[in-house]
Amino acid sequence: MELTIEQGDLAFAVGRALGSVSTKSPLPLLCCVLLEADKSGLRVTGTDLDVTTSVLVPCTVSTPGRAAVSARHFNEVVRKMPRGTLTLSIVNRQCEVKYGAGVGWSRFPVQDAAEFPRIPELRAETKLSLPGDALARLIGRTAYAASNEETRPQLNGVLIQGNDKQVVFVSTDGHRLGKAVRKGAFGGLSKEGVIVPSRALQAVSRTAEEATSPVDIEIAAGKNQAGFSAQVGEYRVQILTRLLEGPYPNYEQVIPRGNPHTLSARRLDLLDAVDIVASHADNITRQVRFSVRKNQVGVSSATELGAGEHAVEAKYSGDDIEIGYNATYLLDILKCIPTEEVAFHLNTALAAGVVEPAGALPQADEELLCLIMPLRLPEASG
Amino acid sequence: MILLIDMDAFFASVEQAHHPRLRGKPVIVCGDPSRRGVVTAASYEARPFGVRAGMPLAEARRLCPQAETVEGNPGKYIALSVRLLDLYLTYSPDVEPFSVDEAFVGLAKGVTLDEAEEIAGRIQSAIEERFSLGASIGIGPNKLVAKMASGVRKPRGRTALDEDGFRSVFWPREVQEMWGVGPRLAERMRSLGIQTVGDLARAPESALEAAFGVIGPQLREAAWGRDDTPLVPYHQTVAPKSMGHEVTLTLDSGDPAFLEGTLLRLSDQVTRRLRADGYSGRIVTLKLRNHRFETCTRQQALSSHTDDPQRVFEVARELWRLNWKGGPLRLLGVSVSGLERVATENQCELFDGDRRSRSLIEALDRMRDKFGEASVVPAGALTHEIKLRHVPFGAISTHPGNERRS
Repeated sequence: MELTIEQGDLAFAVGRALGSVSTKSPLPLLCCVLLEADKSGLRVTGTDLDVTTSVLVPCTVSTPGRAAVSARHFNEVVRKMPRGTLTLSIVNRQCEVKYGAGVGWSRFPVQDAAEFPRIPELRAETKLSLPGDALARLIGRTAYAASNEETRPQLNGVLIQGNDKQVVFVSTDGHRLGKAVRKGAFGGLSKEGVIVPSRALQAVSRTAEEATSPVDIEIAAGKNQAGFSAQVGEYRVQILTRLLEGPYPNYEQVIPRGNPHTLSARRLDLLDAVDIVASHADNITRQVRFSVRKNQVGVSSATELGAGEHAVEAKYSGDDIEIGYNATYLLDILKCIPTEEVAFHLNTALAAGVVEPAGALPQADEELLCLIMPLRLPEASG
Repeated sequence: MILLIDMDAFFASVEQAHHPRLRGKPVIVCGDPSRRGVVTAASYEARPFGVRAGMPLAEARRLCPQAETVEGNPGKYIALSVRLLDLYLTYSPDVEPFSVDEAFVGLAKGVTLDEAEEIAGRIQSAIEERFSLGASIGIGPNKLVAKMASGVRKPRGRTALDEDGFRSVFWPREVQEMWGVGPRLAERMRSLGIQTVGDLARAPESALEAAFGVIGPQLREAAWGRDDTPLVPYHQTVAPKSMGHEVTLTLDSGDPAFLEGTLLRLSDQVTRRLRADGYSGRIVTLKLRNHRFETCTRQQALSSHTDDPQRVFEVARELWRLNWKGGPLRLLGVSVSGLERVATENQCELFDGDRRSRSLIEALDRMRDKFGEASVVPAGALTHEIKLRHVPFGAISTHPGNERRS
């Protein structure tokens, strides 16, 4: 293998591929990135067997070939090399990179590329595409609510469903739920949908934000694998992921319709209040108390660490109510809602609250809904 | 004044109290009567034959073939131990459990030695009356004297010593009788010419410091019957760092279903204890020991704190699947660390299924509180019964008629 490539291009490709490389693996090859040079350019691939990131960058290939090098080490050195043209070649089972027109070189031991795990070809049954910014928003509005509990793998990701009218992203950990919708025809996706692991979506979201083309989403026939690919400038980034096995719980059933009381407040006021008061909250339950009164909500917390209370002006005309919430859940929700005001649709102190943007979202063809389950306050009943 | 209440042959006496046919007979409590194991406790009737705790069971049987061997039931002893602490609390708020069968009880300032002995007598009667158990009580001005005095007269003895009394009783005795002086330390002391507690008390401090470091002078103070270790009431004791259960299998086993059932039982016991004490943990540790006594310990952090048996079990099982090489195992253990005092059940659940599983855990806890640990167990843990026709460790009480023949 022999090629010339711009330092920025190589650094980008290696940095992204590294995102999918295992931090520690019993297989040394899983700590490597695979370099493959052919007429289409240089493809750099990293995988942990669940998620694979592959980046194709332009370069001038004089001898095609393949090699695997230690991902972390290669990335660290390439990142520090001066901008400009690099020449990369395999010499005596070493990968040699020369930089700065003869100023310096680095060599890296190579592993046998033939042993690198074969990334299964994705035979797409369903294809759809979403603008990068829209996909990033759909992920940002849901992924935070996914579970990371080992015992419920089906909740360790985001459910993506679609029909002729819309695509729906949903995630929940059983204590809260995020649902984001974008209008459009997505008939290829079924109602049953697919569950994409949160880990893969981190990489997808980053690529979606920078994408200069729509993100193409492909879902394999067996619904066991999905691919996300997009153009980032001159680079082609592809993320392949194993899908999680369902069934996903029937979330529609738990979204309450017609909670009787609505509390609206300025989102940033509420965010500040929860943030400061939560400093006193218990490390694990993160409990803060909402004391909802006519046109005001008091946010408070008291533990052995200390106590605090913060009043926020609000619109509310229902019964006085005391509700406990996990502050981390509240902050996640308040951060993902883009509007100036938020509306809490409340029922009892133990029932699911629906949190929605008050007023239109910046994108008229999108919708957003969050659910949060209360924490039982010591004196609460019912 | 401080009392040290030491239950006489605790495990064996509990068994005698619960099984009238064992009363007055030599009783040996052990891990599992059918095969190997060691003596965990011997009744006073067995002791004249030379049977001692810690002795291999086979040896104990040779010494005292007529002894009844009873499989120990740790859950029962712990539950009883807690009830004993409750009893002591009616005499003083300052109760410090020292082991499963020993506790310090601090009496108010100004109580004289005689008054303390009188209170100790009332406690002995109450224990006898309520639990049909005997206790020996040491009474002294500090924990050291109380602890050592408790061993002077046994069983059902009562010994009150002030510092002078302590010296007259213990100075002539061998130095190894000092609390905190084991056989090896005693051996080194003898090599310095210290044979008795009195020798230790009279030894020059500098020589002791040179020979034993900082503990040298401390031991000399102790030999004078002086001790300023505070009594720590158990509601103020340091929080536990981890909780765990382990079991040496009755027979080495390489049967996956059996081992998995054992892990389920251990996970269930550990999380039951977490919930009972109001803790949640986030690190699960699995311990495996094979027939060659090679021990492997592996742990995994969870994404959040838990006291849920299913979560702990699934992580323990995953660790087991990754680390068990398929050979016969001798010991399995599951523990949970990274503990925080917390009530996770405060979080309301979105899904009915989750609500129901939490309610189920709570209902099972209430059943076991009322009817004992054996009243209900996870079905998956019953592999023991199927495999051995015998349930080790008192996890489930099986009546002979119920044994499954399979």
